[in-house]
Amino acid sequence: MTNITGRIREAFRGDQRVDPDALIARLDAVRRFLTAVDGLLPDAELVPAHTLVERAGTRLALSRDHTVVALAGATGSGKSSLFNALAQLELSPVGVRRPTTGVTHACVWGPLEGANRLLDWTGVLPRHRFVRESALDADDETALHGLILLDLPDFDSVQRSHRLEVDRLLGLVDQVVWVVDPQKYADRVIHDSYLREFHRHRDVTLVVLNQATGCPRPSCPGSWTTCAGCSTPTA
Amino acid sequence: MTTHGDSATRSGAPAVAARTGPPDAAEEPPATTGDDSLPGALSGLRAAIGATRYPLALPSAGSARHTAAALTDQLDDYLLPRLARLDAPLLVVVGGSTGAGKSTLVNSLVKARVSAAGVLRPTTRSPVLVCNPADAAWFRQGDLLPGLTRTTEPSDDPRALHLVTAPALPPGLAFLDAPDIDSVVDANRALASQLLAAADLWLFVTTAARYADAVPWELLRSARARGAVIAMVLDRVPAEASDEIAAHLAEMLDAQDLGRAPLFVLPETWVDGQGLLPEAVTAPLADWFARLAADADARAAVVRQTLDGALAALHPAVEELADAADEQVAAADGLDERVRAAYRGAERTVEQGLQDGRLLRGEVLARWQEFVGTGELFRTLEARIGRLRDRVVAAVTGRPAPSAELRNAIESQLVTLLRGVASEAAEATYTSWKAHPAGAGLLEPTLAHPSDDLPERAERMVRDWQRGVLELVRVEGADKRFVARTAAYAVNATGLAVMIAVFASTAFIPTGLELATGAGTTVAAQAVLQAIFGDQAVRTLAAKARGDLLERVRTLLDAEADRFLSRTTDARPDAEVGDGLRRAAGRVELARHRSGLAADEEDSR
Ligand SMILES: Nc1nc2c(ncn2[C@@H]2O[C@H](COP(=O)(O)OP(=O)(O)OP(=O)(O)O)[C@@H](O)[C@H]2O)c(=O)[nH]1
Ligand SMILES: [Mg+2]
Repeated sequence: MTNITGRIREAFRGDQRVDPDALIARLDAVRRFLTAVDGLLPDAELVPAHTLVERAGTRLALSRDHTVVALAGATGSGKSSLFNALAQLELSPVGVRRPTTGVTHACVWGPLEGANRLLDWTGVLPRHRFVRESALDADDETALHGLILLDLPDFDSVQRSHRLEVDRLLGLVDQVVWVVDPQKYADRVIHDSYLREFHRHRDVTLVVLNQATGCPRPSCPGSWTTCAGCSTPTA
Repeated sequence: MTTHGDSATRSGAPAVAARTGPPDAAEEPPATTGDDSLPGALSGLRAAIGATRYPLALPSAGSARHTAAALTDQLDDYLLPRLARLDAPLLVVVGGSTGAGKSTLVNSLVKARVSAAGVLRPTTRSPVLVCNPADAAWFRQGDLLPGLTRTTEPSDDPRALHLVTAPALPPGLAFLDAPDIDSVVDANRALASQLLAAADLWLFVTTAARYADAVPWELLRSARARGAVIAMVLDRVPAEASDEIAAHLAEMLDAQDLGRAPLFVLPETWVDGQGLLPEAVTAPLADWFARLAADADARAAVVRQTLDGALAALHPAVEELADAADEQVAAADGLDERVRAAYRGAERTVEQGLQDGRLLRGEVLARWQEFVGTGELFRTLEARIGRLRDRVVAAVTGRPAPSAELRNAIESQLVTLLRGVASEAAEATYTSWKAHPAGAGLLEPTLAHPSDDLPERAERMVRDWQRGVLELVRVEGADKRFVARTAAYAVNATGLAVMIAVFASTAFIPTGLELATGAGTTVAAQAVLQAIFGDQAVRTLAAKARGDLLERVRTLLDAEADRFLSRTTDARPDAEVGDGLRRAAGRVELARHRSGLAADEEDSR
């Protein structure tokens, strides 16, 4: 497997992003559909569509130039290490005490100003927002302009509040990278509560198998493998 | 390898020895020989649990069924066989998360590859029990965990128990490598909880990556609630993180009131070619078990503590079952009450319909007027309004056809009313059951409507009633001469008049008259009506006929209500089962205190 941070960065490049105009056109189609069937189909069946139109509308109004990508995973799976490796900066504290990350951290590629409204909406606290921009950066860094990477808390530790935060954010972000590790990849909570659910969103879901060489140190960022679109590694 | 905390209490000696008091307490033999009422009480409790069902879909039912199954398993798997043989080898069940290194640890402790370890999660699907060859007979004979088939070959069958002997393991102590508690494989978790419920000692394995996972802590809390003896292994700890993580875990254990459980911290290391951990790493744990194996008193103390804890935990668990059984009875009563209320309402509507004159309309009224108020015959009566029977005899003799029509009109009017109230009651009951969690599960679509044959039965009922009224007229006609003189037609006509009187209770006669007058009947017709309703004989007969009709309506509607009530009857547990469970649990608690197992626990407090 080639260097995984590289592969993930590749997946985030600006030219691979969804065209906002195409997205707006599709949303409009859903909206027209909802108007057309109003009163003809049972309201209860249409609630998800209404929610989608509303939320997507809000999201697009906040910014069309950013993509919010969340790193999600079990405690100790290496989300923060991966976050720091992608940012090439030590932004989110990495620790041996489980769980370490208790609040969402964000890293913005490009100026922070344009991203602030979006980050306010997602509820990331200002002191946990970081900017990844440097005059020294090479071209491949500018290709990531507009990326907002989120390091989420865990969803499986004794800290129930972490899971609530994750569940809230997963409904707001544009893309999710699931970080799993060899010890926990078959845990029930990951599959039953998340991956199975996200199967319907496989085109915006990426699963990363972290620490795959069995490296004993959880913080070692040396070895990552990806399987984009794969939602059940055991299947 | 480090062990955390004060070595004297943490891991220097099996912690329970200090906890369970002096050896002389353990020497007393009451549970084995002196008191056989504990096994008797347990068998009674087992029977009571087995006899209780929770068929109504209440929120408490699912967990009650689950608890009942778990308790039955624990009684069969552990409590009864363990009580019968307190001196049998001590069983250590190794439990924890998938990939925590349970199998690797068991292999390393017995210095042989007895259980497959692997990189694919989860690896262990079927339990593996390792013991000294001297103890093999006890585990093979299957008193303990009787539901698991003993095998000598490794398997993936969750209903199999792979028995292996290892000479490196001292006699008196056995390890059981259990499947995980938290992987996607649900069967593993179910089996792991069953096995842990059969443990004398839980060896709980977690890792540096997992020690704060929510799932294992739930299980640890339940172990504490059961008073089981627990030892913790924190495996695969990076050397530089050892102090910080061990301190954090000890803190968490304290917070959960599990601070007395010995905690072994094993450093991250590489497994050898055999998949075993280096001896230096496992030595403190191996020593602890070796000391436990060598000390019969300490072993007995562990067994008694876990056994007593498990017995004490029965009481609250059975209380939960008893409450759930009571809830079943209460819910069935509540559902029945909804049915009765709806059908009582239907009965009242019929009763009211008979009182407010609403039935004396339309077809019935028209036929009635035709019957009494028109035609030649009536004119003959006009001049002299004599006794009712004369008029009636005359009227009917001359006019047989209208009488049949009136009778049919009465029938169809009543049947329409009955169909209406039966529909309303069925719909109301259906809706109110549907809104009840347990009711919804008992419904089927046909119950939303009256039964298919209701119209036929209602018709038959009305015709039976009409026949009954005629019979009444015949038998109870106060005047013998009247009976003697009446032809069949006379009885028929009087009967019809009585039926009409039933439809138009005294309170509403004026209305009936107005209607009759308004509809263009002659004054004479009005006079006939007055004469009829004013006649005491007719009034008495009408009261009887009315009572009879209402009785028949009740029977008809009861049969409708029974379609619902039979469903709760089938589902309803005996009202006594809740208290039966409580009594059985009380007997166990009493026997437990008498057995002397509990005395140890109290001494140590
Ligand atoms: N490096 C290292 N690897 C270990 C250690 N303990 C276990 N392993 C490895 O971790 C993997 C899982 O170990 P198992 O013993 O199968 O784990 P388990 O707890 O039995 O897992 P399940 O059977 O799935 O519940 C295996 O590949 C082991 O070789 C250790 O201390 N250090
Ligand atoms: Mg295993």
